[in-house]
Order: sequence, then structure tokens, then C-alpha cells
Amino acid sequence: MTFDEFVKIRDYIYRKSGIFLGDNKQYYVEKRVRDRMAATGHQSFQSYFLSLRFESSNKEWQELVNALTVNETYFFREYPQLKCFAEEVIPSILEKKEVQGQTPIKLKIWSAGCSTGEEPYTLAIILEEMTAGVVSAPVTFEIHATDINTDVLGRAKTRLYSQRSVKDVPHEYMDKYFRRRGQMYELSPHLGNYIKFYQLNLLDSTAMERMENFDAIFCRNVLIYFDDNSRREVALYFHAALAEGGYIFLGHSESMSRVTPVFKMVRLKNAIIYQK
Amino acid sequence: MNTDNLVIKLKEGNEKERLAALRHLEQQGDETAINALVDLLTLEHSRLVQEAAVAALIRINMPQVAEAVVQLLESTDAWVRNAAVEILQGLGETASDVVRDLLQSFDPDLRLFAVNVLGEAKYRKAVSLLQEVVNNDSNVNVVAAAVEYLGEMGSRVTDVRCLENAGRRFKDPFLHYAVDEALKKIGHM
Repeated sequence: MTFDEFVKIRDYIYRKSGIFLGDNKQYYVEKRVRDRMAATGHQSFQSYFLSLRFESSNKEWQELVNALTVNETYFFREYPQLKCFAEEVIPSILEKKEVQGQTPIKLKIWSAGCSTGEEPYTLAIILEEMTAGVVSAPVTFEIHATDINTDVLGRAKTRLYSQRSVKDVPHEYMDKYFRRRGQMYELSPHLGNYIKFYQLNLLDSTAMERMENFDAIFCRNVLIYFDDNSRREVALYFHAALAEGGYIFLGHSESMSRVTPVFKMVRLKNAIIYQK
Repeated sequence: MNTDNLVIKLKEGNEKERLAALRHLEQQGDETAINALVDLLTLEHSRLVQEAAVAALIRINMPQVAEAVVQLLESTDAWVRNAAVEILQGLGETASDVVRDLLQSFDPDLRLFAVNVLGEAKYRKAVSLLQEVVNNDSNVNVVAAAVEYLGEMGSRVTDVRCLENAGRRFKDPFLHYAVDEALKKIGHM
């Protein structure tokens, strides 16, 4: 791949997904594009690029994004955002609900595109740790964890994770919530009680219209796989699914402002997030 | 509820009722519904309802949507103009006849919008329309935009010739730079 070819595909990827690949990533991109060319039977970069550029199914786009992103998921991924959720967003929601006189206070969180469960279980740990003692009213919470792929949901329900998945879990939480099982780590079963795992297609209007009253939605590194029209559709479903003042968390390369202006961008101490 | 009542709801209901009326009108998808949804883009005050109307019009996916939306490109409101471009882009090939006609407009700003729509298109005919712009349009900004997109979407010898020809038609240094960049992207330099 020449440098000009790299720039061509790099610029296209950035325009479509917000993922920026610097000049130093040429080899990284070249290797993955070559793999995708081999997988799709394209002999030249130009023919591969044009096929990607004009495909209507978005299938090869999803494959390429998969190849270019670290699509493995792990506990406590994108820590500054989680810190923001734990230390700024949770107290703010709890205090607001207390002022409204809600008791017990109920928090409803959605992990959209939860894959093998690392994100919703991380959120369960954070909620268990951070909701105690913030307000005088008792606090309960539920997490809806959805994915289109039933295989990954099945794996999530086993609560068994590899060393790689738990590498960023703080020591005190490791001791408290995980138990070694041979080469794997088993997560405490009680965390599963907070989470409802189920299959959901983010573009299924009927299913999406049933989602409501969420205080926060986590949809990190999912919208990068969608085309422009679908991305707007999903964003509007999320807007409808959020309670008034609810928050949405996207991946660090993603920007809701590029999708739709219906959310407010909120700059907090630890992260930039979006609010209804 | 019939179309007339839905249109009234769209004007007089609260935000939730307007969104519900909008969804019903989308399902009807007839000319009255399309016109009501297009009017909503300029008359509505809620950004959420406006954005929902954009999504609904794209989903209706009929040439009549493109025909109704094209007038909004002349709006003084930047959001409305952008919404019209996004709808035309979202409609894809369904809007191609309207976009082709737009390229004949006397107003270079409208021709530039048409080029921007074609630049995001996923249908191959868009490439030949961009070629026509590069070969024939008299406005350097319109041609420069088309050159940039042709660099991304073009591949054939005719695309290369067309770009080289644009370099000969204009003396503007920015256009020459754009042509060089486009030729590099096609793999000709």
C-alpha cells in the first residue's frame, strides 16, 4: 500500500467513524487491509477500496472496523469515563431523585452492545460500590444488558473470564468480586442478580420503543459499525429511552454531535458525555 | 386517525403527540404526509422532532421526498439546509434524478450542495455525474469539490483524463492542488 492509498482509506475511515489513524499507523492499517483484501478476493487496493466505498450492505465496513479496532472487551475499559460515571454522574442522579422524593431510589442503566458482559458487570460493581451512603434513601438498581448476538450473551451469563479480561480490575475489587477457577476467574454470582441479559437489535423499532426510563446508557464502540442513517435512528431511539436528564456514554473516538444535535454535550471533570 | 387530523396533531400537539403523529404520517407515506413532514423541518421548534422528521423522510425513501426537500436547500437556516443535504444523501439513488437536475441550477451554491450529496453516494452513477461537473461546470468551487470526491470514488482512465482536463480549464492554484491530490488518490501520480 502506498502512502497515498493509506491516506485515502484513513480519511474515509475517519469521515465515517471518527476513528483517526495517524501516519505512524500506516503499517498497522496496511496489514489489516491486506488481510481483508485476501478475505474478499480483491487483487488491488483500488478495487477493494471502491467495493468498500460503494457497498450498500455495510458488511465489509463492519469487518474492516473490527479488524482495525481493539474489539476485545475487558473490565473497567475506558477508566476515565467510568470514574466520571461513578464519581459525578451517579451522585448527581441520586441527589436529583432524592429531591424529587423518590424512595427507594431506583437506578436503571442500559449497556447496549454488551458483548460478553464485561461492561454490565463492571457497571454492577461500580453501582454496588458507589451508591451506598450518597443519599439517605435506600437505593436499588437494575442493569439491562443487550446484544444482537446470543452466543456472547450466553458466555456473559457464565460469569467466567480470562486473565486478559480482568487485567484492569482494581486489586480490592478483584479480591472482593472474583474467585480463581483454574485458568479463569469467576465473578461473584450475586452481581448477576442486578443484570437482565437479553437479545436486542438496536435497529428494531418495536423492541427499541419498549426501552424506557433509563438514567444512563452505555453504548461504547458500537455506533462505529453503523452507517450514517442507522446511527441517527439509534441515537433517536436512545433519546426516547432515556429519562429526562439521562446520560449517554459513547466510546472515546465517537461523537454524538456528529450524529444528531438532540443531546447536550456535558464536559465533566473526568470525561465528556452527552445528556438528554 | 386520518391524514388531516395527523397534520393538525403535528402542528398543535405536545412534543410526544407530535412525534407519534410523525410516525403515523411516515407509515402513510403519501404526498400529503411527505409535505407535512417536510414543512415540519422549517416550522418545528423542537430539534428532537425535526431530527425524527429527517429520519422518517429517509425511511419513506421515495423520489417525492427528494422533490419536496430540494426547495429547503435555499433556506436561510443552516440546520434546515444541512438537513436537506442529509436527506438527499440518505435517500441515495432514489434522489439521483433530483440531484442530477440540481446540477443544472443557475445558483452555484445549489450545485455545490448537489456535489456534496453525490460525494457521499453509494451508487456508481454518482461518479459519472461528478465527471460531468468536473468537465463542464463553470464555477471553480463547485469543480474543486467534485474533483475531491472524484479522487475518492474514481478509478478509470476517463476519471484521470477528466481531472487533468479540469487542471487545464482553471488557473486557480487551489484547484491545481485539488487535482494533484485527487490524481494521487486514484493512484495516477
